[in-house]
Amino acid sequence: MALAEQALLERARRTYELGRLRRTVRDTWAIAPIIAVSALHHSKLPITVAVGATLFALATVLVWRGQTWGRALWPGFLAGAVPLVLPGLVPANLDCCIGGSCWSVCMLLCSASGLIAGLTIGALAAKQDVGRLQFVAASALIAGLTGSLGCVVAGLAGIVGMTAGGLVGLAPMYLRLQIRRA
Amino acid sequence: MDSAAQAELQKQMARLALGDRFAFLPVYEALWPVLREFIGRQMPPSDSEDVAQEALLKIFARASELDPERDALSWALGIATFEIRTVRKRILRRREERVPALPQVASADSVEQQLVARDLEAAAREALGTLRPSDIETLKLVATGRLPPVPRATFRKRVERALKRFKLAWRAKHGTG
Repeated sequence: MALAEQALLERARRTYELGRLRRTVRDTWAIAPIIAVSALHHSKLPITVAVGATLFALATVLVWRGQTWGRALWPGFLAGAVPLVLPGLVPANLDCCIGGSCWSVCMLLCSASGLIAGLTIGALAAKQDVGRLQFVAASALIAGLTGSLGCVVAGLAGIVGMTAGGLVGLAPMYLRLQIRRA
Repeated sequence: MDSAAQAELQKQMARLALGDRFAFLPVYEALWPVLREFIGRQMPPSDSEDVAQEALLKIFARASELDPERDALSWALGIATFEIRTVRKRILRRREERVPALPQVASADSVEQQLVARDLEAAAREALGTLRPSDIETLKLVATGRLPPVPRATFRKRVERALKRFKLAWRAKHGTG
């Protein structure tokens, strides 16, 4: 039976939103291999599941929302792949001593890979004509969660190190924006 | 739809595909009359409104899949055309189902029915010596109004084929249609 104009408009809107939600699967599938890589590197399964679920929920929301938010997903995955993979490539008990203080190599790799991730996001954000801040926020969140799945091998300190490295990596983009504004 | 309106629709649909909700209303307002007219030309008035609404909902369900490089109007009308075809098939099927089946006799294996079936089989065998036993069985089922334990569509196809062969054989034997 034919619907009244207003009812049709509302149903069309609902159908559109549901269609967008269905389409998120085309992007969120990537979380499965990310979790698999994380599970291969360490045995902290509860953390992997919790972070993986959060990553999935966030990615779904971003892709469903679309525009800059949705565009930020894959750059986030790309930047987060470095801290996801790199710390797992060295033995967990390997230490590195510099100037009298010793650090776990994993921990150092987490900070370094966070830095690379931050620089990557900064470089990709510079190419955005609109919604640069949204892009940085979304891709940094995705990269942070993806990277956490790798840096969890170095414990909380590893995740903190990765986050600090990431913030330092974003600094050049922030400074460039400030200089351009001034 | 003139070229300026079409260009505007293309722009708005590309925005909608990327997730810009502000483009929803302009797309709806531009597309709905076009769809109504397009479908109204191809469907009877009793069905056209429903088909147009279904098509509109399908277009919005797939709006995010639109490639901005593609012509948005053609893409939307393509979905509408597919919907028209689907509904036409559905109507055709419904009409076929509405054709009353042959009246069922209280007992399917009654003597009378068996005699009719035997006579029919004999006549068919006599006239159509070349007809396959499976075709005769199918025609017998049609004559007695029974349905075999196969899907309706399969049986319909079998009847169609058996009748075709029957006609050919009849024509070959009696020289008339």
